Amino acid sequence: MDVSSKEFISLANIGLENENLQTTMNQFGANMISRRQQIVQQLPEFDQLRDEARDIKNHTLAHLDLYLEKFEQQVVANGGQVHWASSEAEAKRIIGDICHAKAAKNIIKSKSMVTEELDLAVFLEDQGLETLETDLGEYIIQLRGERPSHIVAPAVHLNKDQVADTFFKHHSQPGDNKKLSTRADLVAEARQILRSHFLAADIGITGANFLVAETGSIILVTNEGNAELTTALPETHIVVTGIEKVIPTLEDAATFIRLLTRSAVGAEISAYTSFITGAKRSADLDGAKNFHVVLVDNGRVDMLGSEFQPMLRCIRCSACLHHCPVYLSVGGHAYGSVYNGPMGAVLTPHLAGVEHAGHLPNASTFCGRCESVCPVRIPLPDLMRFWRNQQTTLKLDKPSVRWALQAWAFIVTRPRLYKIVSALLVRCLAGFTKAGFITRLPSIAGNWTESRDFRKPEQQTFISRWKKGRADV
Amino acid sequence: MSREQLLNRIRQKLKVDASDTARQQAVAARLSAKQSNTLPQRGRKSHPQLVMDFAQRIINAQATVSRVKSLTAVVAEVEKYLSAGSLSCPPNIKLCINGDIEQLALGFEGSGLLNLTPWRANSSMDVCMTACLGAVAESGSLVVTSSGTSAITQHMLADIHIVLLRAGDIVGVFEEIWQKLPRSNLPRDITFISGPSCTGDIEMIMEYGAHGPKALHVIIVGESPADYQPL
Ligand code: SF4
Repeated sequence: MDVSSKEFISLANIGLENENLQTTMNQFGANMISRRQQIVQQLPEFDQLRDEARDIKNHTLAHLDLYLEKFEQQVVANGGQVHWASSEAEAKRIIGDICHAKAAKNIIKSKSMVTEELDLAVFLEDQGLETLETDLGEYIIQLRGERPSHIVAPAVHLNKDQVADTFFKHHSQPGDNKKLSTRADLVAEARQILRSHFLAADIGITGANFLVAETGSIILVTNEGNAELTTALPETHIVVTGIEKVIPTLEDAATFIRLLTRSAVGAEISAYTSFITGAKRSADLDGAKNFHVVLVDNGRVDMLGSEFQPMLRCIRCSACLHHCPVYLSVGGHAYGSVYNGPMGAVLTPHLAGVEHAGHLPNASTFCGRCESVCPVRIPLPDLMRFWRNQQTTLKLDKPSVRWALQAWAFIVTRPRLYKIVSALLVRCLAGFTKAGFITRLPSIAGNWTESRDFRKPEQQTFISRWKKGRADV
Repeated sequence: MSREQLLNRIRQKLKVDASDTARQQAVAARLSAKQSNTLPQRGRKSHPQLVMDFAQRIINAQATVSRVKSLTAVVAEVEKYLSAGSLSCPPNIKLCINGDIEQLALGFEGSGLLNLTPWRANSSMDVCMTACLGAVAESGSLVVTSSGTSAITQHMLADIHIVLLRAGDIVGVFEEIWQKLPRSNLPRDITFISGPSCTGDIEMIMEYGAHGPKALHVIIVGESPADYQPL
């Protein structure tokens, strides 16, 4: 997995200064938070389902070898094949081999984060295989040569006009001089262009939202219907998925379906939820004749038995992104990784190496909202804190930051000193107050006030007020 | 690296042994129990109420719904729907029906509504009418499956998709759909359709007809069974 997470600070600044992005993300965040809240209120059992989902995942992970074996057995029983890939390179080799064995020319893809992690489309293109993303958001960013800025809505950073420019650049014929102006027209144009690719494709590649061990089914969730076409039209269907996606039974699948779209987009369900089980049956009118599942490890096994095992519960719903003040301010590209927001801040250091993850574990206010909405109750702040610790232990952060933290620790662990320093600070800060706010501070503190104002501090410290009398506090 | 190595690494990390029978039994028991988790209360209502809930939810997702008393009224209902001016499809469109509908012999042959060119797996269509396995009230979802008389592309490639649903096939929760299916021999594709194809990928505003049908119309046939017992 290629990451540029070390550039977080400069990438975040680009995001913060991008007015388009700021408007888009402001609306997006408010919208997603209220939509989720409303839809969750309509399902009184929601929190109970979250507990159960966490327990199902914990149980499955503790028996992962056995559930994967059962899944494989069922895929084979239904005419499919399972491949096991430890690394990114191995996964790519397996997928490339399947495509070449079929002498494939045209590949269509339905959205999948694992294939993003592998950078699969680029790899296949390099092999001379035309590979087209069919999820509208993915298609847009593929045309633009960008990475997804969100794990569910990959083109959320763009507005309609930017999409219109992109389509004009790539779709227009000589002589065309009018850009499309409505969303409906843009969607219609993409539909028309991609439809012909669907009909001509010889291989369809999808991810999987879940794998059902009991039946060997893979579950695909989309609004557009592109996954259904990707699996029904081409002769060969390749599923590329992480080993952690397996769940035991169809009953468990029902629980996760209730949680996934509610958490992801604040909807009761998506337009299409498909359970694909094996290859085309002999009497069937359509469906892929060749059904392959590539189970990808790529660092996941290493999480088992470690602090990070809970992260393997993640169902990639993106609720933590929507509720993260940092993600909503800097946008997904700042993370320099296909996984962004709080889940990306936890996963990226693991998948790419903590030394390559730069500031990601620090890209958090530790407000805890991510954990409070996570459908499988992953303790995201704790895991980010673990990475922070690691960075300090391995001396990966800047010496100045480490010294500052050491100085801080020195002060707060000495109550008397703390009292003196804090009283001094309060008085100092009062000197910078104008009309109830601090808008500028000198030296490094200026970094802070550059993009936000402080309320004027209280006149006295908490401790001195406490001494005066509790009633006052 | 191969399957065995990967599985061994998993066991190593989990600090477990491949021969541990207690683990195997735990998994076998979990798989055979097929135990439901919490079922939402909203799916445990009288059948007539579930029919209403299903219709309301799928209408909320921008589908349209009509109800007829019996199968004999279906052709006229389809004719009425297709001639309504509100549809964003060209005039004189023709209708494809899938094998499931054909088998019901509803009388489309004499109606002048049928497409003259038979359906092919890889062509686009104006309108396609299909049947379904049933529907789920808790989420407002139709359930369609692939078979020798029902191609998934027939549900997905037409601009307008009409689905015939018998009221008696509407259930409260997802779990009841599993009971209608042979679990050890599932169809290749089971798709829950909960509205027309849509996308919010441009500015998070829903547009319809992304890759699948632009419009979805459900015709609910018949009355509810009186003997329905929610799970
Ligand atoms: S960490 Fe939790 S909230 Fe975030 S994407 Fe994963 S499941 Fe969703």
